[in-house]
Amino acid sequence: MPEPLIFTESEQAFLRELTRLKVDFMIVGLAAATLQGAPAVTQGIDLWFKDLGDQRIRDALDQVGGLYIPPTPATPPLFAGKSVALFDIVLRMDGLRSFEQELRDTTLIRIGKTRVRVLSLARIIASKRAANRAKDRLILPVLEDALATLKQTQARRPRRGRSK
Amino acid sequence: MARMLDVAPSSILEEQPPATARAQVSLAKARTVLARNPGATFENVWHTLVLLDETPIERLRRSLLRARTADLH
Repeated sequence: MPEPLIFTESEQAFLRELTRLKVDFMIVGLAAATLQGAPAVTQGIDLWFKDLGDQRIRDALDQVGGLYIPPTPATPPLFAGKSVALFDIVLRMDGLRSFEQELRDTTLIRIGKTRVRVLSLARIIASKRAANRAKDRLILPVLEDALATLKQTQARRPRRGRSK
Repeated sequence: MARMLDVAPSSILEEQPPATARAQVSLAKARTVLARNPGATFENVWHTLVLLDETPIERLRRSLLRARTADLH
């Protein structure tokens, strides 16, 4: 049986629109770790925006048929719609500096037709350490081993453009 | 060309090293990582090396798919 399609063109289109409209954002969390090679499992793709009030985010959503659902006292802000269902909004990153400062610790990674800023694995580990939830403590050894592996392979094969 | 097609360079090469040779190269890399990081776990290092042979989008898809599959159980 063929594997079900996931993160298809329609879902990639949102990232493309955000990039085209020059929205300041980065991918963080385990999706970011996975993109860099960490063998982690994630249910969604965490997006950290410099300014969630940026009108261009709504414009990007309009282009892909997505919706922004503002936060309520009981619920966080959400994206809704098939093309954006995989994306989660991150409001706070434990243990990290400001968006602008962390931007220096990002790398551009090609996702489909778009190159997107992705928080470095080292900084993801710093965030997980600071958050220190049970699920963070479980994944930290995996991320740390992945980082050690990345450092080793990058030392042997410096910047060969693996971010296709 | 691989970047334009959004595929791994290895997928468009006419000749690929035999799987055993590739595995041996990966094993050597894993051994080096483990020697320099005594606290590291072989499985974590090995799976990272396997994923580094894939494109970032393939890695992400694999991760999302596993989460979705896990939800079924």
